[in-house]
Amino acid sequence: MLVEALLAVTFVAAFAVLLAPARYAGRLAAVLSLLPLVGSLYAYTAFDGTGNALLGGTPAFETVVPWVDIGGYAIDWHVGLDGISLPLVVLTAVLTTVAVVAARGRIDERRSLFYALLLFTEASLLGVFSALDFFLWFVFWEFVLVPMYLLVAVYGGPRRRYAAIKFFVYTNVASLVLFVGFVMLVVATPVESFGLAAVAEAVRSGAVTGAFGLSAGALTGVAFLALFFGFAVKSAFVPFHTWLPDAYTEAPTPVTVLLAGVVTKMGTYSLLRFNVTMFPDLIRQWALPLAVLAAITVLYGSLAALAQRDAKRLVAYTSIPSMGFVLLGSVAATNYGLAGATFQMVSHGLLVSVLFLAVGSVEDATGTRMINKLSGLADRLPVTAAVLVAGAFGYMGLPLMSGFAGEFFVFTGSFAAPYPHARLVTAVAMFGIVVVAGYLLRLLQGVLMGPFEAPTAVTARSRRDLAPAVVLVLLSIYLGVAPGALMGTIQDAVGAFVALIGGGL
Amino acid sequence: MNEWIAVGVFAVVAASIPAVMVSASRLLRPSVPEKGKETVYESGEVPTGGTRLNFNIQYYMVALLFVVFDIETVLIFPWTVVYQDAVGAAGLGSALAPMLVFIAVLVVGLGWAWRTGVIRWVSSANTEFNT
Amino acid sequence: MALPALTPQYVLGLAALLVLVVDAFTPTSRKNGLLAGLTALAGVTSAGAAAWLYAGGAGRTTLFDGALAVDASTSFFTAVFGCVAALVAVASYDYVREEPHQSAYYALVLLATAGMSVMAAANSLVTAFLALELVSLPAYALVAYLKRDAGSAEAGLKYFVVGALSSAILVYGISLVYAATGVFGFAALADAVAGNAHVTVLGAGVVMLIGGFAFKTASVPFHFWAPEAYEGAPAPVSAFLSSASKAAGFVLAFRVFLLAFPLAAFEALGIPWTLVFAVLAVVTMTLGNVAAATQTNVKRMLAYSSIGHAGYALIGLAALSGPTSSDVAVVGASFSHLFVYGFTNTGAFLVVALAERWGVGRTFEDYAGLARSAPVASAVLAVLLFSLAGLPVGGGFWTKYALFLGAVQSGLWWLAAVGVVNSALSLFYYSRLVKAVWVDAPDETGVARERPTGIYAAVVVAAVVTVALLVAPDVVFSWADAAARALVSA
Repeated sequence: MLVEALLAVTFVAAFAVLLAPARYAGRLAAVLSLLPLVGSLYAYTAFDGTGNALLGGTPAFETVVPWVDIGGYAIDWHVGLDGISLPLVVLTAVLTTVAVVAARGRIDERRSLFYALLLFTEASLLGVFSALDFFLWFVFWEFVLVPMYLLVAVYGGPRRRYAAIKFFVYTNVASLVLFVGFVMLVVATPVESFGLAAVAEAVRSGAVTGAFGLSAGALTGVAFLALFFGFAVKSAFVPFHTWLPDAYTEAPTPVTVLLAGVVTKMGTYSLLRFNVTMFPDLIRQWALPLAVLAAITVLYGSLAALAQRDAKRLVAYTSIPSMGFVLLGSVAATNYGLAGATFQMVSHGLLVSVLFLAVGSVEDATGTRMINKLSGLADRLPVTAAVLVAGAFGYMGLPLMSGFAGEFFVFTGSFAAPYPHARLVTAVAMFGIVVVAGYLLRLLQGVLMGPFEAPTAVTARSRRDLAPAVVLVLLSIYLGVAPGALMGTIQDAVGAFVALIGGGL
Repeated sequence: MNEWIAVGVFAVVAASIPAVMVSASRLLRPSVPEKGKETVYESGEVPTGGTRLNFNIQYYMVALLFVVFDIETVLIFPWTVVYQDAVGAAGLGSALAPMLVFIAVLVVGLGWAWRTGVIRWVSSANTEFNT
Repeated sequence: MALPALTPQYVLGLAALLVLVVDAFTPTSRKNGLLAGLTALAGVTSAGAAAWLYAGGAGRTTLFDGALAVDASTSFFTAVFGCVAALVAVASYDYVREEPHQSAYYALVLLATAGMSVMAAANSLVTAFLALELVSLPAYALVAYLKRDAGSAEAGLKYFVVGALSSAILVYGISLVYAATGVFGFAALADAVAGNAHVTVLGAGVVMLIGGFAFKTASVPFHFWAPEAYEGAPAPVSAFLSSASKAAGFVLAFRVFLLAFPLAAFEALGIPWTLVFAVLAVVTMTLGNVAAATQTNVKRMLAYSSIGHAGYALIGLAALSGPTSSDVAVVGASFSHLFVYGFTNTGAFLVVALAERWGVGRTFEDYAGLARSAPVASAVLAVLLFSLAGLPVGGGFWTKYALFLGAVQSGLWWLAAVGVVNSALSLFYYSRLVKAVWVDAPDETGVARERPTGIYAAVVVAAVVTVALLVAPDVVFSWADAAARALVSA
């Protein structure tokens, strides 16, 4: 019942904030967002699931209740957490609280609606990560779009309308494609439900029959590609990334934190859940092209970031190579690859939020985000500078921070991957880290070092504003020092899969 | 196939008869144009006023109500013809009640039209054909 | 308690007469509230009676020598019509308050609703046609109800001309079917079409019937009246026509094609009518959505979107494949789509009615910033539009995906794919309106808006039902399933 309680509390909190007067909405939302945070931390401590939820493991806090019957298919309310979803649930709760706190003083109109939408987003994200029935998962997956669209469209920057519509239509097309692909797959199996475990079992045991004029193999391939396309758009793999820089840049900082920190993780999480776990044969077969795509994503994203002059847009582009690393680890289908991909999702969620908060703070203090107009801020904004440096170094893979651990696991797993030329592809992708380091250092140097220069007088915001960023940095250091805090449960979940396909390391 | 040939032939004949008659008369008749033939009514009456005039809209209302009762008659007439037999076969209730319901519905409509002034004849200065 | 099988129809018909009687006794007094209440009560009562009949589970009852047949599909759609009529009546209380001839308005609404519920019980082509006319004639008058308004009068005239044409086509089709078979009753037709010798005549008749139904459901090729009529008509009437009247056209089409023209017999004759519906579904949903995306007028956008939704519902007639279970599933999906759509679309048009009452203009720009002066109505509008787009904020989510699932199940994955593309397109134009209402800045700030109780109540009820159907859809789905089963396996 814990998952239901989390969802219910978050939804109720969203409605309560929606109805609250604008003056108190921020404070109320901050207090109420602690409830799901505490709940998710409790879930972390009380977690007793074993194995992978799709591969016969026992998810923690599992509930199954029949819900709807559509076309002879039973759709259940089926939720539960396993080692892959648990870290993301905690991440969601943490980052929502961070976003709510970071919104103080940044949002000055229709505040009740703003905070309510943040909480609605959190509720649906929690649903995405805990759903174990395809339709239920799809409900939450689609519902995320509604508050996100409004958050970008109502509260965003000058080009918010274009960015919001682009994000909305682009990701919705992807969702619909993956829907048709998955439904075609389910119809071609004898399974009479949309339970993820049941479908995974049917696909694995070869129960897919030919249908729609396609052979069983072709149909599985089509479904695999449709799902991959859907998740690739959501997690912004090149060449499906074009919505990302616009949406990240135009969204207000708290929304960007949620968008970059968690919403893109929906894509990579679902990639692990569906493409990797359900189609072990195909992921083996197509590992090389997908890994090449991952390497291209890394290189293209980091090279594109080099060309940015807007600090926020630059940070937006840094997300793309990180998602490429997650893809690289996922397709490796080795123990460290998969676990590293999951760990990297959490780590990236923390660090990218730090960067966006720091850049947002710079913008608030100076009125601009253009790197060439800023210089020597380190003296005037010491706390902001420290946070920015910490975030950037974490991102570059400084040892003892979570970014290092995540990337290390991913590369270890990817080197040992069984597909041909795995080492070459991994080495090429690793080169991306060098580029990332290059442009992040350029950002630090341009903005923080040198003689002071800014278009307006610098008005430092209160230090309290950066408190959430500091907390995130500390969390990142904690995970860097003691990755075992998450790796244990994660490896338990991915280990079941790796054991199944006989992969190593 | 073959039974449709008859229909086709019939259609051809039906179309050609008027065509033949018109063209034959055009060939045979003498052409004597005179003014009297261009009048609206060739009855000798001299028409007054133009042909494009507004009728009072109320004529249509009356016409509509007339049509309602006209159609009512179409249903009542066959009913009266078989009424005796129907009473014998199905009993008084089954033969009479449906018609009473039918007429009652129409009476409600007529009563409403009457009470709301639909059939009250209103004089208006704007129309040419007043009472 | 066993009710007569036609209780809902009687209630609606008698209520129409009662409205006239009340007005006949007190023709001069103002009694808008009384008449609106009476109409709404009749709608709710007939819907309740329909639910009661369904719960009684009597199976199929034929009446009047097989001219009418009452089954689960009758009660299901009668409930839809009753609810929509009640919503429209409650909203009309505010909308027609200043207009003359209110009794005629409410009586026409009730008569049209009665005609729809008879359509849902039709079991012979003759009763089908009569019921269709009983819906159409009041509808023409309702569209032209604001007779001093040039747009309303023009819309009524256009609707009437196209309607008369399509009625003529329909009745010609019926006569051709009769010529080929010699019977009117659905059951007798089902026997007579098997191995029929007059394939050409029968086929031409069926195509003409499809044309007639296309008019009533606002599907291609008889859709072009819809934007004109919905734009010109009073907004509650647009809501009524685009929700209830469309559903009525669909239930009749389903009854005729499932009961009277069995697919197997027609395939043996070489007339696979599902193919016609598949083509119509694709063309209708594409045309409706593409046209909706280019509109600048809110009412016309909703009108074209309702054409698009007719295209989705047509999947129910296109994706019949033979196995009873999947046929029941897809027909049931189409039924429940029409049910949810009845509430959602009615609500959306009634928000437009609200805007018309406030004197907000007709285009997207005129709606800019409505959320600041009317947050409740704007929130309701956002929920309804997103539900129409198939996002999981309302029951439209389930039904749209159930339809796509049904299409995939019967092997028409390309139909589902076209539906998916259209669905994405629809999200674009629905979100444009949401954007205008919530994001754009209003021309003037600080406008105080009155709160017409009736319209507000109606739109809030519509939104609440829409959302409730997301959480607990099984009530409606199981009923729709029973309704589909009554037709598919009859």
